Amino acid sequence: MGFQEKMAWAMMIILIVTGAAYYNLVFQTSAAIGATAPPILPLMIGYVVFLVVLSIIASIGIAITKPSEANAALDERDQLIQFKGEAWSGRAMGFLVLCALLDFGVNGDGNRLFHAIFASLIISQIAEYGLQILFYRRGS
Amino acid sequence: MSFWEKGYLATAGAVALAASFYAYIIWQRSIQLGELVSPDMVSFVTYVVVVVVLSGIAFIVIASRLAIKAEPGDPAYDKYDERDKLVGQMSSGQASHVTSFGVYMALLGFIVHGDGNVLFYSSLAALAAGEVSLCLLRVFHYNRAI
Repeated sequence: MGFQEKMAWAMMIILIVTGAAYYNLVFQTSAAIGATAPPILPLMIGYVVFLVVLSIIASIGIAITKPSEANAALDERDQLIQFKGEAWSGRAMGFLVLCALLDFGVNGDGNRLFHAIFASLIISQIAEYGLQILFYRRGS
Repeated sequence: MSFWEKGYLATAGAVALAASFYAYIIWQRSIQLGELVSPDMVSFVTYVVVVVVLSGIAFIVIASRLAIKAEPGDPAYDKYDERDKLVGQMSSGQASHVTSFGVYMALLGFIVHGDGNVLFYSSLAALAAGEVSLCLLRVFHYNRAI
């Protein structure tokens, strides 16, 4: 397994774990106040900082195991896989954001729209790394 | 200029035109009401359908014009080959960055103003900007001769 694939695995797991923790708090807050919770800025900043710190730790950890791979530039295949992953996850993001907009048209809840769009961004990012792993495994 | 380049340029124009018209309608209604109107699903769905239909029509019209000009036996348009696929994937990937940047800005804006209608329109604008940039990036990559 190459450096890029290991990084894709690490990032996908980190995004799933942090995303689930973030939305768990959002759902708990919403249940407590009896309505969709507004975006909580300290929570969002905490989420982003935690995500960045975990990503750095993961990349250092993976790079230590094989430093030569970590320093290597992306080859043609890596680039193609990255483009394909980004292209498909971009389409997924567009579709999910469109669904969130339709949902807002039905219920008119701005906070819900915020959380739905933010979730769309996280899901599309998870999909990007998942697709990269799939393309590496399939031997694209 | 190839069939695909012409088609994507026309699609970019069509999306920009439809988005501008939608923005104009919202602006007019908002002026009448004295505040930003809530999005109504009829005009939103109409906008999405118009964008899809116009994009399709752009390719059909260009293909028809090329078919009229083509010599007997020559294909009216180039087949979608490996290079087209690579250009498509590169452009889609880069355009997704444009869309996600716009959406992130819309989300940050919502934290400041807390208005769901503004979030709706700004996210829709980010999607339209992403779509236009996708078409323009394709044309750009074709001309850079990947």
